[in-house]
Amino acid sequence: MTADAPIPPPIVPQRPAAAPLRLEPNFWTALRGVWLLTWRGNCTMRGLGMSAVALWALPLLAWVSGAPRAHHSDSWSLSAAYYHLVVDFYFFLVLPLVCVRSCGALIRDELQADTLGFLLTRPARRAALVVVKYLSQTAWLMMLLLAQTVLLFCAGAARGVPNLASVLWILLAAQAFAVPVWSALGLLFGLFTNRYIPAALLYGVLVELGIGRIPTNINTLSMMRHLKALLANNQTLRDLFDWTDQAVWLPIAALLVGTALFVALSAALFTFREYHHNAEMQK
Amino acid sequence: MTSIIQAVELSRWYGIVMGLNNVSFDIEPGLTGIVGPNGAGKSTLISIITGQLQPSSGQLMVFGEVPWNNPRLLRRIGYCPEGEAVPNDLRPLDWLRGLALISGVPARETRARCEAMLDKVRLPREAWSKRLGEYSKGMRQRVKLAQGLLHEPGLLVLDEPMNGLDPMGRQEMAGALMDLASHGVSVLISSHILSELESLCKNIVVLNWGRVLASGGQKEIRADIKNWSEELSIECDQPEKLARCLFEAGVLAGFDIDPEDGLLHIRVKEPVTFYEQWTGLLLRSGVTALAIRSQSRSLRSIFEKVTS
Repeated sequence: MTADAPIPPPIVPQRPAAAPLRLEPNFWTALRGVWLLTWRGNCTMRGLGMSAVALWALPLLAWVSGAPRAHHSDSWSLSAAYYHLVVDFYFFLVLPLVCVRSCGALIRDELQADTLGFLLTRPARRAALVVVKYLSQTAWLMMLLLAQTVLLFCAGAARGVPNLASVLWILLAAQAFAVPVWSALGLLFGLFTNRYIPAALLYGVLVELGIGRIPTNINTLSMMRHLKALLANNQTLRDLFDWTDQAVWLPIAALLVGTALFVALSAALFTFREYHHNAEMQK
Repeated sequence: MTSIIQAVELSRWYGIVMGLNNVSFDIEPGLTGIVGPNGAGKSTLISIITGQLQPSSGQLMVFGEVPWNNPRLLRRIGYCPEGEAVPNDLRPLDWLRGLALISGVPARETRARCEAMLDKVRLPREAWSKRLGEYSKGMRQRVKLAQGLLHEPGLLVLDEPMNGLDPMGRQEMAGALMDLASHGVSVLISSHILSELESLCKNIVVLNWGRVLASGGQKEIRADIKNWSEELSIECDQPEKLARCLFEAGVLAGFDIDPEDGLLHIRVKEPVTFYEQWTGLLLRSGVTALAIRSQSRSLRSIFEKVTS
């Protein structure tokens, strides 16, 4: 190299320009995201502790109430007391209330806590957001209530209640339809009003206990009636509660239609109505 | 320059309570501040811009589109709300990953993307394993800012982002926002901490009682008010004598002498006329002036004037 040769330019490593982020918002990624937030939010020491306490309370009650007493002189009266607790108290009272409370609070609690804005300002359709929230919460509830039912039946087994296996399967099958429909109803009530528990109780009295007992076709509006029809496919429950055997397809169709209707109404409400902390605080 | 936000006769009511009252303004790209006291309508305006609320009447367009129920537009808007509300039970990375997935960030990229955002807002890595409920206000603000940046918005809207930050944190936040603006992201900040907006924002929208009292560049707003009565504080050896002299010359709207520090506070009628005569009047009075401070040219005083 001669002294007057031009000095070569320094070699500067060329960094590739960062590619612009490509967003692909769709229902499934939103579902995945909301599910992640749901189970991570619930799997805390506090959340799991409260769930554990709640899960053990009812089986404990079943175990205590199943203790041998004078009037439980035979296995029939023992099983009657146990199944009344499981079906009347747990399946037709506790389970609907848990679902309504849980899904009614789905949007309301975020609205009160002023965290809904994080969700509403995501580039996703509002209808999709509310549906994925519903699906995630319902999936979580189904897991919790599955554990609850299994524990209840463990308590029954510990007390020697007969025919548990056959009742467990029919109850779990009915629960698979009950949790979505009650959750969807809770979601709808929660989107309508912040007093969703009283609203749900009023609904229960008017529709489930009132209209559901009218001996005309209008009683198909009662979801409880369809759930009873599903449970009536079990001989033990049929004999115990004096139900008549019914086809399963009509109740299943009615429960699915009811769930879809409640979710669709919720999605429409969430799409067109404002849910905002400031507006809520002005009420 | 093309406006990114245009409001035309925009109003918003909460029942009988007024949030915004017939406001019209344009916001250009860059850093813009929304200034106003509590209840001025800042959060309402931000909620309409981010598509959470609908206008009661009038129209607001962001990037030429209506924000309400418009996910396509929301891809271009990031939002960092006011307050400390965050999901307390979640860890920052989990929360951001969930929100990133909802925003449509491809699943394989979410983790790296969220980590990059947390690094960008300088949240210490050792804090990532804690739940958000255990965070200080400042750390929560950082995570909130990170979630607003997840989907690379063209407009970042921040409602009172400096709240709860210590002076160092405020400086860092200001630096981060200026850095974003230098990379072409428009930033809209509402705040009542005027000094930060003054140094940070080129343009200002002043709101009070749901109305826009002034909007535009800080220089323009100052130019608009150049003929407002001016307030000055004068440190001198004979404040009474100077006050008498100025009063006799007819240039004062009022004056006051602070008995503690001896400062002469004056309100002048017409600033332009006053400054033309000031040197002559001071010489004629024979008073020695040690310092003169304008009380009316800071953003705070502009804000106080237009909101009074």
